Order: sequence, then C-alpha cells, then structure tokens
Amino acid sequence: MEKIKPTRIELIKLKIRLKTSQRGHKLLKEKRDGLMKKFMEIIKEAKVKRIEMEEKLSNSGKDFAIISSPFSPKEVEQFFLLPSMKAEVSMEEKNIMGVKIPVFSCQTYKIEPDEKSYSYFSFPIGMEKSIKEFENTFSLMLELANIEHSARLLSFEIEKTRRRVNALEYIIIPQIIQNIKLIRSKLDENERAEKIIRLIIKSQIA
Amino acid sequence: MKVAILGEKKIVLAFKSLGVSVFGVDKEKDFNLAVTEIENSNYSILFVTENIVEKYKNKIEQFYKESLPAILIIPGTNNNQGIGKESLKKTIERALGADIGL
Repeated sequence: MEKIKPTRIELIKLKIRLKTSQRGHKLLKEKRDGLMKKFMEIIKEAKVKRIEMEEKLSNSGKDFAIISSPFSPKEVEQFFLLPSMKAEVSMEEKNIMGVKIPVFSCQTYKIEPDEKSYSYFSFPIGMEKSIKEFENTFSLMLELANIEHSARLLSFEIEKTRRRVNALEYIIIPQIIQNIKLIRSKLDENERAEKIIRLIIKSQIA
Repeated sequence: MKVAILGEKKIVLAFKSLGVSVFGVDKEKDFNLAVTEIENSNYSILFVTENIVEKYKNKIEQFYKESLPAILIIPGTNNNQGIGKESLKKTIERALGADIGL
C-alpha cells in the first residue's frame, strides 16, 4: 500500500474515488450479467446446432469420399474447376453491451442459371447428389459459424468484464475504504491531541 | 465478402461448386500460403476441418480473437474427433469460469 498523507484534502479525494469506483462496480456488474444472459441464449442454440451440423456434414463427407474414391485427386479437382454458384456474404454489426458482433447474411446464386459447370457425361452420378447434400448443409454451417463466433467474442468480453468487477470488488474498493479509515483516525487523533494541549494551556494560565 | 474453407483436398473440393473459396491443405507450405491469402483479403467466414485445426493449432487460435473472419470447425473425413465440441466447451469455460454442463 502506498503511503497516504493524512490530510483533509486527501480524504475528500478518496471519498470521491470511492463513490466513482462503487458506481463503476455496479455498472460493470450489470454489464456482466447482461452479457451472461445473452451468452447463455447463444450457447444453448450453438450446442443444438453443432450436433445437427456435425451429423449432417460427416454423413455427406463420407458419401463424397466414397464417390470420389475411384478418381484421382487431379480428376476430382477438374470436376470442380469451374464453380457453378457464387456465395456472397454481407455483414451487419450488432451491438450487444458494447461488444460488436457481426451478423452475416449469405446469398448463394447460380452464376448462369440454366447452365451447369459440369457435363453429365464425365460427372459421376452420385456426385451431384452429394453436392446437393452439401448445399443443404451449407446454410446451417453459415448459421452456426455466426452463432459460435458471437459466443466466442462474447466470452472474451465476459472474461474481461469479470476480471474488472472482481478487481474493483475485492481490491480497489476495500483499499480505498481502508485508507479513508486510516485518515479519519489520524485526523481524529490530531484533534484530540490539540484539545488536550488546549486544556493544559488553559489550566496553566488559570 | 467471401467464404473460405480450409481442409484436406479430398473433402473440401465439393464446396467449390457452392462458390466457396477452397484452400486444399496437404502440406505445410499449402497451409502457410492459404493463411497469408486469408489474412490479406477480406474473408468473413472461414471453415476449418478438424484435422487442420489439430495440426496447426497455434495459427488457428490466433484467428479466434479477431472479429473477422468467423471461424467454424467442421468435421473432416476422419471420424468425429470432437475438436469442434471441445472448442465450444472452451468458450463456455472462458465465459463462466467452469463448465457447468448445460
């Protein structure tokens, strides 16, 4: 603890500091609770969606691996050389208690509506089905990416806020209170000493 | 803004037909190239397969704190290793201080 001067001005300064830190503490606590509430909502959704997504994706991933197994990697690469769809993501920012969270909305559209970028002749039959499956899962993946990302960003903020709340509650505020007490007792002590001196002087004069 | 996927060539190629930028990673050189490319252009969502996350953990974790791109761990060809769930669990632990098994 740093050494503090037992003066009246110091006492006033400390009192002001105490008031601000108590108010800050209260506000930060509210922020933490608010963030936590939001976080809980998001994380519940994320858990459900994650399980769903993993199941779907590993199924279609397996299918794809089986279908593409008779071809050499280069051949498979060739099948997909030209994309037939385009995915465009636009982003908005949402503000949750001062945490900026991106909200994505994704649009997929066909580059040339009537044309496929592969021919039925060279393209394996099952491949198309497997691509359709990926397509179906895709929107779920995007959604989950958004949710998990929000959860992650919120968790960093919650951690930070919690640290601040704890620091204020357990270190800064008690320290200030103690300092105030110290100054008060010192001031009182001075006053008493002065009173005694005055009494002594008075009795000597009389 | 664009969507990218980072994973083994076998599985991620299928996403190319959906208009996603595909980064097939089989060697470390591929990974480094992909990362610089992702850092330099504005990708908003990045899917990463579990195997890649496990292999290049440090580099991927650096991305977590950025507000963009949003990273999602997806299962790869191998059986589900639960790395995605693990990362979700970590997020919960970070926020709550403990995993209370929601």
